[in-house]
Amino acid sequence: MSSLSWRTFYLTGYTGLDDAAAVWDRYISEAADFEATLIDGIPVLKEGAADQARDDFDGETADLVRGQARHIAERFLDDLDAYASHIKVLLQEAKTDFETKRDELAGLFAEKSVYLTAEGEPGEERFEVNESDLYNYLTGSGTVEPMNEYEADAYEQRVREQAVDLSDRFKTLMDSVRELDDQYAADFKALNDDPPPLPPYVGSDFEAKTAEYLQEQHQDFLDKIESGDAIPEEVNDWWNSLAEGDQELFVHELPELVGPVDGIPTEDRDTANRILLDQEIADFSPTLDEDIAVIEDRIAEIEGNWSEIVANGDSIDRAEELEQLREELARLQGERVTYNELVDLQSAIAEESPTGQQYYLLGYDSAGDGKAIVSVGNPDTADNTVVYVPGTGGDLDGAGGNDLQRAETMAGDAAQVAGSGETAVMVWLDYDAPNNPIMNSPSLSYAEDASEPLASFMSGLDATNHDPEETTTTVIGHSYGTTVIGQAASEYGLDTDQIVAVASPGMTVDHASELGIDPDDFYSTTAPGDLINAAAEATLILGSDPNDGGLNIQGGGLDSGFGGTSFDSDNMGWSPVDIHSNYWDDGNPARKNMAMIFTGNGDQVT
Amino acid sequence: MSDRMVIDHQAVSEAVEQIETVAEDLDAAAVAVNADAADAVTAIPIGEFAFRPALNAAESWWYSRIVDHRNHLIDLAQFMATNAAVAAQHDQDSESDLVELGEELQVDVDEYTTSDYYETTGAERPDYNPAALPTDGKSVAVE
Repeated sequence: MSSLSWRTFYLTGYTGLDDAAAVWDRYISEAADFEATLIDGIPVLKEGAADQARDDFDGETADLVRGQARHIAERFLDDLDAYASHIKVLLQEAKTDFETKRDELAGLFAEKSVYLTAEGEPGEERFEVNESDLYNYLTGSGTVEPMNEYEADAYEQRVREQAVDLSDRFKTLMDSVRELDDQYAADFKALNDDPPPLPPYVGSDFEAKTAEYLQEQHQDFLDKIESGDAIPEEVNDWWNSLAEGDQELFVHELPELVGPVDGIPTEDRDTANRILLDQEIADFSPTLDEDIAVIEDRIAEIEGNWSEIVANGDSIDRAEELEQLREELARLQGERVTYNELVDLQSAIAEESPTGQQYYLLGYDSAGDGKAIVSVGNPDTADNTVVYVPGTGGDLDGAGGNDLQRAETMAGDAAQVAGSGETAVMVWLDYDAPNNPIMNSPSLSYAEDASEPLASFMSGLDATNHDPEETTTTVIGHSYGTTVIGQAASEYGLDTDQIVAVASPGMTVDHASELGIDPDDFYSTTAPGDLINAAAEATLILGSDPNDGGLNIQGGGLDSGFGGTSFDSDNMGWSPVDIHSNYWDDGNPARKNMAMIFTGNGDQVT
Repeated sequence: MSDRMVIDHQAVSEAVEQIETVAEDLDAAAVAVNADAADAVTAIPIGEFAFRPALNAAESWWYSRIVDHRNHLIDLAQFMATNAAVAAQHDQDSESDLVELGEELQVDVDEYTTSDYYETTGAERPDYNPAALPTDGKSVAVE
């Protein structure tokens, strides 16, 4: 607590605070060049240099060294702003505040009668009447003429009343000065409360510790991403604001913060997701098959000896053991299935695709049926991007199998269109697709849950695309995938130029104009023999039939239909169930039509 | 860590000297600001104003923070110097100074200790000086 006396306060000069602030100001100005001195002034520390300096010191360690120099420089400059500048500002403010208070005190002294004297220790400040001088004045001692009794009484009363009044103000003022003093003491003390850590020293898990340091530096934005409050465009801006070395650290040391995030460029997401995939596969027990075999043998043993077990009166214990073994077996077999699916996915994207394009893993999740987003070609650099949303039965297995083959087919077909450039086709299975066409597919809940992730993904593609204005973007769904697209487009809007519905049971809307795009950019097809025709016409839950060309007579008049353009597709078979999946078969005219749409030639579909 | 480091030991040694100079300049500037700022406020009695000792403490803390920054720079410089010294020892081409250090030769960034620096460069260990030690509680890996 401040015990500042009024005498010290009044007699102290405060310009020194300004002088000190000026010292700090000069220091801060000179120190602000620190980064330029350290990084730009020392060639081998300069990041991104493609010149002699990089040749002089190259490799991953050299990159880490450069990153460390930059982290030190950035931390120093942040410190300069947070602490040194704060000290300077506090000094300036203290000078102003103390001088203002002192001026107030000076005003009080100027206001007081000459027969009042300031007295008192801290907390007891008051003005006392100088009795002898006042008496002399009132009685006319010396050179002063005496007052009459009435005037003298009135004058004396005024002086004594002022003493009381000003004493209150005096004490109040000094109390506020001491509060000010305490406040500045607290402010200076608070300066170094919980300062942010400096980068780690070189050595002892330096790379991992640097990644942790980096994560802490960006925790606020990472929390924003985690909570879903950061839109992909913001994510992309944030990512691009990072130095290349820091991006590398995020990708390699913190892949879980990179792989699934919409708005981060495809190359980086792919690298991060492949690291995660490799790690997850490596984490499976190497003795999984043996463990399964041991349990199967034990089950077989119990089951084989069941008569004997019953005869020995051991059936209750063995039955219990059998139940536990079967549960454990089911769990391990589930693990085995997941392991196989992950290995299949890893294998499917290991090499170049048949189209000659690279695969990119934009996300995956092994939980439940599994989810995955795999791209044939890099959507950030392609001339055309296509997002394919599979329908009922879509899972991790399909994302690396059948659905991926369809994506390859579509990419290959698009490449056949003259002058089309590169078309990147993604399998988007970042949703829990219905498993059973009878039990699950009529439900909207799967589409509702998928809407936000799909909308976010499309925004992310738009954010990372090299030239979104010139790139033709299409979202294509098959079967229930079209319902997902319709729900997402109508609920959130999709960053896409075109929407294509293949064998749609309904898109949750009654007209293409409700999909947030020009109806002329909506295309649909369903083969004549596809069983989905019955569902599309029968179900009201999933919306109107997207193939409704407007020729239906309803209520005695013509309606406008769903809108958009229907294109041809053949049955390519006899079974209505098989026809539902034949759209990507060789020879199906749907393929050429889709290729024309994807490459911006939708006016040429048949 | 990396299996390859290309290093021109001459260029990196020059960089090391520059980093050390930056570190010492950083320290000297912080010493100067503390001294000059303290001189400027001598008219404000430290025993009377509560904020004065707090100001002193804040300025002292700033200096300790700068010591930490300086130590980080020295640490970085010493790591670079260590690898530059290794490169110099394996430089077979007196014309280029450019040496490629494989995994087995370079001092790994994840395993480096200050002992590596003193042993590799032959630099003299300084006398024990508590003021020069990191003050944030995160010491360099001890040898």
